[in-house]
Amino acid sequence: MRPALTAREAGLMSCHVCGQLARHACGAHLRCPRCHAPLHLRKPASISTTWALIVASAILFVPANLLPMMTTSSLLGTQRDTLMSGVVFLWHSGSWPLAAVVFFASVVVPLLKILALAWLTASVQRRSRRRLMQRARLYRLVEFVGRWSMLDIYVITLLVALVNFRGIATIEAGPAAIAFGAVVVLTMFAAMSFDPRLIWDPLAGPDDLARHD
Amino acid sequence: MTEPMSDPRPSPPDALPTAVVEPPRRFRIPLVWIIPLVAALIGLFLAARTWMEQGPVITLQFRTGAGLEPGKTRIKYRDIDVGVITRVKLSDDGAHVQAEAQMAREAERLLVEDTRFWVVRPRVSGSAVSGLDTLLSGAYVGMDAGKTDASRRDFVALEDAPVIALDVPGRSFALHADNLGSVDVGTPVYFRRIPVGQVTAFRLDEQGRHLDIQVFIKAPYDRYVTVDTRFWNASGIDLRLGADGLQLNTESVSSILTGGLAFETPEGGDTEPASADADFKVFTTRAEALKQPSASAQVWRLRFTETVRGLSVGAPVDFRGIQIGEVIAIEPDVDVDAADVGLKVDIAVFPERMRARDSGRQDMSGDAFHALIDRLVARGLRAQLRNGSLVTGQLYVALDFFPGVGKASVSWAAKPPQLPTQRGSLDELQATLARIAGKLDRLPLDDIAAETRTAIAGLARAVERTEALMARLDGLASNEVRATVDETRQAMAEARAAVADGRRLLASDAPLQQDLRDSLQELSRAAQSLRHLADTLERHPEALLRGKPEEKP
Repeated sequence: MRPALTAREAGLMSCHVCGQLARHACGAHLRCPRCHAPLHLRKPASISTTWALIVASAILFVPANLLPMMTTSSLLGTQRDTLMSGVVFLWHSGSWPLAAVVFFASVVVPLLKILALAWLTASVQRRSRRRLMQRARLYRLVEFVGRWSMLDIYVITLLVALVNFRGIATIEAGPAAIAFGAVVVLTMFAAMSFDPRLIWDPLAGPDDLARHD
Repeated sequence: MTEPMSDPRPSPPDALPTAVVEPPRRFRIPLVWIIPLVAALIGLFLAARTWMEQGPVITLQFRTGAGLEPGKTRIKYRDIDVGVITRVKLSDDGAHVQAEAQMAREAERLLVEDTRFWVVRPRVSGSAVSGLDTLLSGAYVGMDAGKTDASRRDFVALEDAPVIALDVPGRSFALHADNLGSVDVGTPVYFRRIPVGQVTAFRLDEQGRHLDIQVFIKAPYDRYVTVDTRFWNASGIDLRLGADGLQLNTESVSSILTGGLAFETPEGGDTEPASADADFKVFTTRAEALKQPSASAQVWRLRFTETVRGLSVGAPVDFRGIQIGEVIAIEPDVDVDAADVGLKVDIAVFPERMRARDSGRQDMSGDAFHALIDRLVARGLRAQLRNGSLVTGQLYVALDFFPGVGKASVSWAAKPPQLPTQRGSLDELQATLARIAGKLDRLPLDDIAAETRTAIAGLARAVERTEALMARLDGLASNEVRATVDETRQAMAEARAAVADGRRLLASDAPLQQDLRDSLQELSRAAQSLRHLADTLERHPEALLRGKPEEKP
């Protein structure tokens, strides 16, 4: 692919806020000459921030799956359900489509998101020039999917609010709900902090400006 | 910002403004790494907590897997979750179900040698309902912590919930009974009609001849179980018809319905508490339990030649109203030499009951005792069958003195020793009646009848003669008597006339009476006037001079 002329190569940078193009200047901290917002050639510390968020969400993904998501107390006794036990219950009770939806939305998608972001960040860090187009598409997909991952949290908040008959049946959110919510939010932030322009930077060849500042 | 922004066209790069350079600030830690740090801390904390709470894994052996669900079935101790069944599988030989359970950490020290597990299922017995909550929530595994220190990880679960938790103070006792009656695990044990314990287990002994029943008596009642304590089956209604009449014995209503055991220590029994491994017999009734002191009974043999219809094993042996023993066997006795058939009746006598309460314990077997019995028999001590109830015809054996009976002796050589007997009272009555009948039979009734007839004829003649005599007397007296009667009648007529005159004079309408009444009335009026005058004078003494004062309106 023939590399196009990028703003960076032209010695220009655009303001993230007002879109004003400005010529690059020497100095650590630059500001937009029009709106005085901080100016960067690339998102600052994009790779390390993304890494940090990915690591955090990966850690929290473990308790999100192991701890009880929902505590159902009723006359029949108390039941604590983890994500997987809910999926297994749905599967055994015959609601296969629902089980699949919950499984994909709550287990597979967050996991794949974490893996995809990790791969994107790693490949950018290695200045890989392969599969640029696929990586760009993957990034768009990850960013798009992010907002749909809170399905479980929505369901639980609704259930907790609706099913609250004191003494007969109550549903309480478990610690896994918080962990799961944190995973979703952190992956969204990770996707945000990742600068997709970095995917294309290796095409321009080694450049000390690629030090994301 | 060197140029105004009015120009809409894109400016050439050289015309663009240069970014403003800001002086560098102090070095910043990339704050974003705090996020994974916090996440890692949380993760570590959770992992540590889970690890801390993780208790030991134990295996439980069940007979069936009914109600056991991996991951769902809880293990509860005092109604608190202490574990959960994680895996259920068949044992290697396929004879049992083995379940693995993840226990909580705090339950670790409860898992000792005598800890017990069982599946809690709903149970409805006559006296209690338990485990009803499992109807809704499904079965759970109950646990009862043991008291020993030896740790243990594999257990065999009980078939049924234990009746008594291990930590209930009290003691267990072993009873043996001939049959179970209506006793079951959980059957209450009563002491003076207070429920003080329960049957915890029962099983047949190896020969299949007795039942071993384990009972648990709660503290503080366990100290009333003494060496001399008797247990009896208090189940249901005990209605018996014996020589001593109709008897109805019951314990509480619930024991009538569901059965029960009861115990009591006879008066004067040993009050030393029984040891934990003491063995007790279960009697069928309270009366039976209490009547047999622990001292060994003496067995005597009686030989009767009359019928023993109405005499049953267990019939009382009575000495002048005190029951001192009971019949333990009845069997025919054929005497080949004498070509005679009698009936052997063995009786058990409890000499303790004949002993005065304040007298010391006497030797009941030695020569002195033999001599005593011999002397008593010489004085006329005999055994006799007597009728306890004319309605039922039940017999009992009476020991009593019969002065004036023939000589008899105790045959000490026989085993058991044989006491001489006396024919029964009813039997004797029959014999006497027969004797009388025989005598009646021998009476010369025909002669007596003939003599009587002649006597009656003589009597008739005498009566006739007497009548003739009377008639003659009548004729002699009649004339003089008649004259006297006439005179008397006259005198009576005169007397009656005189009385009539007097009555007329006194009649209410007689003139004399009338006059008398009038004058009496006159007199009373005069007396009234006089009283008026006296009153007037008293109030107005001046009226004597001035005359009567004017009437004031």
